Amino acid sequence: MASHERDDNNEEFRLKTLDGRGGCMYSRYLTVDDRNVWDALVKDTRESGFMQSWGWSEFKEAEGQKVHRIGIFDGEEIVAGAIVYSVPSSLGSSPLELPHGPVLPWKDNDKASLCMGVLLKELARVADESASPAVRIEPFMQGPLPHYMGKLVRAPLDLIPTPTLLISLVSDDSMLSSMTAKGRYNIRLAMKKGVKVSCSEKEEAVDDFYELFELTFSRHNFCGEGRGFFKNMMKFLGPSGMARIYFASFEGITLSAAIAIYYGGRATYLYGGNSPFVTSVMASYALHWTMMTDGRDLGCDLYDMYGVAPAGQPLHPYAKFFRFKSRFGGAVINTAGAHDIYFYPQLADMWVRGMRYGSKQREISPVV
Amino acid sequence: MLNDRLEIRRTGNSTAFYIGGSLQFDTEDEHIYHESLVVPAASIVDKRRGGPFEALILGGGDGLALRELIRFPTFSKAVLVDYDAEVLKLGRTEFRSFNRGSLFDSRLTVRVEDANDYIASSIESFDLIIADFTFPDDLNGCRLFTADFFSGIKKLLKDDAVFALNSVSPSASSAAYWSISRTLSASGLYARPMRVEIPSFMAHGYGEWGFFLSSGRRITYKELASINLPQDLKYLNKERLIGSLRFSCKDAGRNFILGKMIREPSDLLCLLNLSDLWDPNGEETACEWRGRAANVIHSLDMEALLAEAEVRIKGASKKVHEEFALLKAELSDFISEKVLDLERSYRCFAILMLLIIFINLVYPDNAFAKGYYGSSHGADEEINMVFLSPIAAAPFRDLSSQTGTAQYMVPDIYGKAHVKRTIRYNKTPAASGEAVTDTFFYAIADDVYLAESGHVYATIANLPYIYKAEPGRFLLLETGKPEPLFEFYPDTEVLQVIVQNISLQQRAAEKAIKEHNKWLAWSGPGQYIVNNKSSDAAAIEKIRKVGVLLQKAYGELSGAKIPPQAPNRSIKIAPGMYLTMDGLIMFRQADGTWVNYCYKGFGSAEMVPQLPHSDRIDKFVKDMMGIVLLRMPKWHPMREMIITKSSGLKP
Repeated sequence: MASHERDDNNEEFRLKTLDGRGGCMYSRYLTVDDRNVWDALVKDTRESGFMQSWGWSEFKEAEGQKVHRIGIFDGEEIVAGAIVYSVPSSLGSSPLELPHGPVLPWKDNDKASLCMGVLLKELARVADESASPAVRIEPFMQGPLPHYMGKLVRAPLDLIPTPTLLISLVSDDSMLSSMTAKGRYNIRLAMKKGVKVSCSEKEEAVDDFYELFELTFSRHNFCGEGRGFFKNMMKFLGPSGMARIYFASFEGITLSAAIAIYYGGRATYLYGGNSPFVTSVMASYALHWTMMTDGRDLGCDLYDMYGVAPAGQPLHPYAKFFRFKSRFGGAVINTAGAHDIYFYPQLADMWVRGMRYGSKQREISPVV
Repeated sequence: MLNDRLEIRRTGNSTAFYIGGSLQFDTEDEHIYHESLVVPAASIVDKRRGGPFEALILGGGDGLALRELIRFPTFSKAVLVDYDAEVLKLGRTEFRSFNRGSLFDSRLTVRVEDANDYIASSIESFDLIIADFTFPDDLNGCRLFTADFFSGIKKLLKDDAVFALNSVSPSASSAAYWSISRTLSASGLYARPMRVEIPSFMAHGYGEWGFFLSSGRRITYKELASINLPQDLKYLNKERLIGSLRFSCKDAGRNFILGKMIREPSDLLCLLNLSDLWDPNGEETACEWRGRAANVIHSLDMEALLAEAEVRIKGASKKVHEEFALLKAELSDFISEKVLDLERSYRCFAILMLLIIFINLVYPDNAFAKGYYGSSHGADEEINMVFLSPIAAAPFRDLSSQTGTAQYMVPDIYGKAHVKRTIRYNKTPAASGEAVTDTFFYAIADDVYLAESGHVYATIANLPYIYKAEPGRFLLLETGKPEPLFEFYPDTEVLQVIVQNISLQQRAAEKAIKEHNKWLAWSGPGQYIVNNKSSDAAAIEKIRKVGVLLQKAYGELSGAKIPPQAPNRSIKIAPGMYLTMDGLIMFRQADGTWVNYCYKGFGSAEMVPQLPHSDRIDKFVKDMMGIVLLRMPKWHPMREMIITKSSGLKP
């Protein structure tokens, strides 16, 4: 059980725990002074990821999203929290999105439960202010979510693709031996052919990347983000080295390009594109191999291929990519996916407004 | 937005300008756009003022809107505000011959500034304001269509002044279009909607294009009929102007009712995302989303939601109370239904479904997110998980990975082997003895191939049917049989995908050759040491050949015809073949007319010409229905009908 009181002097919302531990757990909004401590916490939490990083939140703010950075403190120590994204709209505010979040001490159920309670109170307050009807959580973890997360509804969309393929980043020999024979062969072939891999952390590299990316998503009839999105991404994440654009070229021709994110213990292959030409030199294999070894050298122990087709769905749009990705070894893991916690007062508000609006509109005939 | 790539593409006699991959204008038909945007508005102002008038142009750094304004002798001064100095530079150089040097006009003042900032800080007022913005594909772009922005515009308008706005497509983005209309009205500007068909926009899949003529004083039909249009216009005349103002209730449809005031930029982005879900006939949401919304509703704590709603419904109209009471009484029956039919469901329940959809569309990143379906639908269900993938793509998916022996391969973008087909066919269904032989050379996209001749062909899964894509028709061929099966009207959606891919890959080929030549020049002295040069010369030559063939294919296919409307309440089974909700199979012929084909239980349409029965077409229809059933979700309202009427087909 817990009671809460507002400390108006410090504008903090304190939740006193009555669990006999004598602690005082509370939430407050994080400031730029908390940046390093926050990032350290996120990096240390395997169930989280780069979308909970300070840098990513700055990138999303530049994209026009509203960002709430909420920290949960136990005394003076930050123990949990979430970076929450939303977009205000008069049509009904977007869910409060927590991709790779919340950040909780997942290994300690009791503590995590307390932290989640504090966080939910704060999120309910934000939802009330922004008229948002739901919170969408997407921790990077397998299996059903713990019971203390609240009444969860499986969301219709996942921002973080699931399932995904995770490859352990170990020694060169170990990684190669975990691959399929075809994967190993193609990497060696690319090296023998003289495929060169380079990388850049600069915004200027986006144009070359985008040419191949656009070629690829158009060909496969996917939707792709616009060029400006990637320019912003590199502007905010490039200087710290969190994002890199890789190019694999052969005899001067750029054949494959990708964006990798390095954060915490995980390297993520986020976007990619390929040229249709000179495919015999296996440039994309050299590209991934370099991203994997770079990730390992930067201290990552996992390489995330960022989405594969679910088992038993050969017509899934990811199926053809899975054939390629699986050649690098690794294990397919099914994360829990996105789940929503609905705030029924806000949802009911929107619903009733919609019913009233619909009732009025039926009396209006379009006059043109 | 400022860093989006500006691109000029020249094909034959025409020049097209793109920003961030979106077409801004094509010199072949840009006069339709710019005359429609500027001339009616300027003509109204000319008549109202009876003397000199001053204008503000927002955007339009290419100088083309200004060119139209300069036609008017009474135009005395203009301020042009565009944030993109590069576009302005192009307007003064590359586009000078198109805009007739408009940006050098002595009456013009140019400001390189964001339109929002200018509107907020300007103290000038104008007789005419023209907004020629790019398509709003992010929150910043959407900001220019909000109530706040339009209120700012109104403050800069003199009495009886006119505001002309380039909008979005009333056909492709209907909800967004009518919301912009409402927002203009709510800002005190009486808005007259307008629409035109611009061939280059249609060919790019943008649909017909929309504008708004608005003013603080109503613009009546009488006023429009009495204005004098300039003499030397290439497109616009009185008849076309009046025609562009006509919208029927059916055109507006449900989206007029849904049209909402745009208070936040994300409102418009959500509505634009919503347009991708909405059936082209404006009647139903995409079936995937009905299933998703249904899943969410199944999982909600309906008791809690109803309790909260009941508190809030006090003060609502009697009708809303009645509908809500009915919903409460019969809710369990509703939720237990597997197929949710919005036609039969109560309005407030339908509103809840729509609400769930809106909530998910408002967040911009969700446009690229991946869908999820609950386990109740089974792990073996073939479900399209891509959020915005059109159902029409279904016929073109491969059913299984294709492999062939090495000499029968054609590569695709991943080097995957595709069967290298050689086809032989007569040029038309009627012709004989004029057979054409063509062999696939390169895979442009999944199931789309470029042949040695430079022609483009599309296959359908593992079926023995191939469409030959031509700008004037889609010729349906059957492997092993020289007589073509049918000549369909070209499918613009498919053509657009093909042309876009060709264009991108052609540029990729040009760039690859350029890069390689640079590398050769650099590595020249070391060629005795550098390996691989001779062994990969064949690959480089292939790039050149592909580039030449792609250019030929692009030139042939990029001048596509404008498609007529699909039959009402129908789904596309294959390019040119539609199935209506009433169970009619309709074929669109190459000349654009429709014919009905009776197959088994599928009915015949009165007043529509009948296609004579043939065994080959029977087989084609049967095979295509089989593909559709394989792809169709179990809750699709037409699924049962297809199974019943086809009889003999197994899902």
